[in-house]
Amino acid sequence: MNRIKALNWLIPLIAILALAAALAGLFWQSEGSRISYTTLRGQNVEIYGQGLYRNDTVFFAATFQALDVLTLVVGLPLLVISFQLYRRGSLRGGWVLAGALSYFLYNGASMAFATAYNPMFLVYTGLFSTSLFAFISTLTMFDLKGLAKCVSPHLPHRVLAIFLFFAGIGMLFLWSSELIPSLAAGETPENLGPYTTMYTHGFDLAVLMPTILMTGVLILKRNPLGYLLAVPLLVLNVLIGLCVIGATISQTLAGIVFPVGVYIGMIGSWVAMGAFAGWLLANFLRNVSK
Amino acid sequence: MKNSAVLKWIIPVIFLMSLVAAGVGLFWETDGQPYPFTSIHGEAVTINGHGLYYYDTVSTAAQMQANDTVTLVLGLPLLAISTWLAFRGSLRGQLLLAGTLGFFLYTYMSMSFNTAYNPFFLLYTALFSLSLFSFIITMMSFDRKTLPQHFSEKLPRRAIAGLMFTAAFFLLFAWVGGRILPTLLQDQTPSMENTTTMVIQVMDLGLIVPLAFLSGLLLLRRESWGYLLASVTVMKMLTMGAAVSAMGINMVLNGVEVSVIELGVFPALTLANMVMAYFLLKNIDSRPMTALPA
Repeated sequence: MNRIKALNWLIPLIAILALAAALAGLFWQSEGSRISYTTLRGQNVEIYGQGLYRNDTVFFAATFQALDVLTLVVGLPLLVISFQLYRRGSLRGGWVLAGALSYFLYNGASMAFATAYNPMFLVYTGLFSTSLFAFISTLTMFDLKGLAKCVSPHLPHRVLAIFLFFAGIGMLFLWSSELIPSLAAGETPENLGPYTTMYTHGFDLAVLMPTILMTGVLILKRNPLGYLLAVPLLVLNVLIGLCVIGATISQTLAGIVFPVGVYIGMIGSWVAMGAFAGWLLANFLRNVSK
Repeated sequence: MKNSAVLKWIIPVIFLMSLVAAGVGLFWETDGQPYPFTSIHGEAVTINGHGLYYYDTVSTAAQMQANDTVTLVLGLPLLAISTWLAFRGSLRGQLLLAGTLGFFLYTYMSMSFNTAYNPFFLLYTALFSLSLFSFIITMMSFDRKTLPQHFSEKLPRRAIAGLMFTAAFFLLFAWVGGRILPTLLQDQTPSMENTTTMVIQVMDLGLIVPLAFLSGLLLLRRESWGYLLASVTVMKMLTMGAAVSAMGINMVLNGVEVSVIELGVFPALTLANMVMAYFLLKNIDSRPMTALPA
């Protein structure tokens, strides 16, 4: 593993930007209350109306606040610890650092591209940019040829690949089921609300899903690039699972109550997915040696 | 090009899909008239009200149609020619291809995130995805160790780096200084038409500015990444500059107010990038031109 000097200032900068963004999201106070709003397409939505996320819908304001809690409680500690391990020369530490950065990249991109413009815009843009360049840097510091030798043949390649295929195809089905029916009916997707477009669907389908599926194929082929990408994807999977669970709780607290089936489906499937991804991650890291 | 056989089928798909996306954006018409609306941020805007960009504003629709024109007139021919040259083993072609894919990536990333949802959303997403992965594959296909040797000593590295720094500073000042900070200090919201947030500014400030600084710096240090990134950035800025210049002209034709600075600087940057692109392409050879460093 080649150390990258720029990470010595990029990582602390990412930590500060993410801390500022999360604290502002949770504690920024402003007068105001919920407003009902009719969007350009004629959908009726409830706008949060207060705090940093005042121009977001109640649904998304609650989601972003769950994301803020997750950043403070899990994301930042993971970033700091893995960075310390990486600085001591730990291969596993560097690998998990790439995973922590993939979370900050995902988070920073969502906040920068999908949050209704608010005064933290430049912080989001900075977080997106620094975590993207730091993530790319961590990926380039591994010696791909050497990496293959570090991974034990006992790694359950097939289980890992099947999990990734399941996650990628699941994502495709979940998001398509929200897009295709309205497209076929010539209508606006139900969840568009006041937003420009379906950001999460676009990002996940364009970037995340192909990466997940490609990594599965590369793992089956024992290609070291697959090993390299598997760790960040598993870390991201655990964190997105926690995020969906947190968001569902946060949305319920904000007064958006779903049918019981949705709770069981959403929380149940993400607990199962996240736990399995966590087990695979632990298994993977156990099968790594210098 | 190594490890790039997959591009032989991805690039034709990008070609066809963007031909459809840009063609429909430009030529598909529906009945309807522009009408006023107040955005969620409280901004009074004029919704386009017709065509594919029905729910965009008159101003953003004019910008996207200008970009569609640049895609059809400049982007697609460049994609075809550079792909053909690259697969014949030309390093020039390979660098042109990387830059052209950079243009498609920027275009369809912004269409995926910033075009008011329309029936082509999944097409934009697919184009964003395909151009992202083919851009990465092309960037990885260069033999970076020997790349600097393919450039002649006459390459005006300082002038190119100077242009990179100028462009980065210009974007930084235009967006942060001109658009964002003044409103931030007065606790107001910058003008952003009917969009959720400022997607173009995230992309310019988060991606293009750091890329331009980094490529200028690495080129001055004669690092191989510098040659690669500078070539891509020059090509990207040339096509982007042409698109923004076309947008400015199209906005004026549609009666939208345009800042004089943006209208003057973007064409100037485009011209400067054309000059640098000429020097870059002139000073490359597919055979190594300079000796291996001792």
